[in-house]
Amino acid sequence: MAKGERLKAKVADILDLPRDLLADLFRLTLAGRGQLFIENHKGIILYQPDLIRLSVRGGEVIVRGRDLQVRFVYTAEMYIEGRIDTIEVEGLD
Amino acid sequence: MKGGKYAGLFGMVRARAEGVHPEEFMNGAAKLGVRVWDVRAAGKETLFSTDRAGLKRLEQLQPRGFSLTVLAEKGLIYLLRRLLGRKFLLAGFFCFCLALFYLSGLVWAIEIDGLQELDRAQFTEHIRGLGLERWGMARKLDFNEIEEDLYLRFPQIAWVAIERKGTKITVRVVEKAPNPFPSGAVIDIVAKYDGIISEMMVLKGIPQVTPGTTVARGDVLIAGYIEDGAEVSAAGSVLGRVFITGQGEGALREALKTFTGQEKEVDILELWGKKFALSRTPPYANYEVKEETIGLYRDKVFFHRRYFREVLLNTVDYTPQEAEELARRRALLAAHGQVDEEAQILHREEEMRFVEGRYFCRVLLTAETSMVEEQVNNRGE
Repeated sequence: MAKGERLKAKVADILDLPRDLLADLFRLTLAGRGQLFIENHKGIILYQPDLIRLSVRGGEVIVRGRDLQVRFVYTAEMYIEGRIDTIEVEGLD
Repeated sequence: MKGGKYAGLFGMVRARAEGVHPEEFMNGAAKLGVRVWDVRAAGKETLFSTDRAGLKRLEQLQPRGFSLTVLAEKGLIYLLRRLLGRKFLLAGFFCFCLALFYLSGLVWAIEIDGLQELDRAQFTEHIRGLGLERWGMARKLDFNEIEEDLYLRFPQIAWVAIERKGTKITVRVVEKAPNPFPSGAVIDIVAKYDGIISEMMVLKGIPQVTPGTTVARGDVLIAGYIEDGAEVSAAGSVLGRVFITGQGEGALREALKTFTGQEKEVDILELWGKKFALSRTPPYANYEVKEETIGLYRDKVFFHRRYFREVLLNTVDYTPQEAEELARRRALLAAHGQVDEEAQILHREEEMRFVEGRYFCRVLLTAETSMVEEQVNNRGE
């Protein structure tokens, strides 16, 4: 983690604030195995019905499953529906 | 997920992007701030939905080597655009509105309420002449003017109002109270009570009495007459002195009847003289009964309904003074009931007797009151 980010994380801890507010972190909200809501992503790297790779700050989020469909995409938000098997986070410190 | 609250109103499209990978397309759309939903991808083809404004912005991406094809347009704005493009439909709609406006301005129905003595046919004919007729133009009618005309044309009308509700016109009429005497009759003024005439003022007619004359009820005081074929009815004011007697009694012990509020109906069927109660008689110790009868078949079958009202009988003891006062009050009430309320009491005499626990009071009132009563002259004068 870069020096600036570490500082933001510390400030968030001291002030008892959610880190994603200060440190520009992504947030995943999973509802059962069928719905995934991703905030603060940086773009889509790959979109296939069984695999979706999303760019996030400092790495990637990999969603594997079946019949994955992007139900909604906006500047920094995405909503995925389908059968979600795994969610991996790669490349982050 | 839908593309915003107003996508249905302002329009949304289902489109296809070709010649670009779906990831690239979605990233491009996100960069432009375009809301995209229901994305389906296969190779270099992406199906998606977006709003109308978003589609315009996405067209900026086309120079990058992909093409956009609109597959379906939904929403009110597209519907309106389609409708506006159909000129005959528009013309038809315009004609429909015009016809609706014209037809709603016509009088479809006229209702006349409250006619009693007035001739309906004559009344209807008259208002038709004023423009108030079926299929006439309601917007051109001046209801105030018509009402004023009706007052002038029909003096029997006390009040008239014309109301319009949609395509229906209602004319409400209230006629003046009908004259109790037949038209053309000569009216006399006769004595309303037995008494002595004390004062009189004749406005019309021939006086038959003078102040001081003793008259009996029904005697002619001022006579009407016919002059040159025209009826002259008697008019004037006659005051007379009348003598009224009222009697009342008050006992030292009286039974007072009060209603408890309990009521019950009992139905009885009468067949050829035999009565069959259809419900039980209420178990009231004391009651009053009122009966209504409906004949069902000639004089053989009847339906009776009896209304039972429970009463309480209380005994009240009065002192001699109270009983005496009660008898006096009842006698006065009986006497006052025989003359007009406006009568002026000049003198009062009373006679009280006590017989077997009861006070009997007799009151003699001397009062001055109007003696006027109108009556049709039957003498043929």
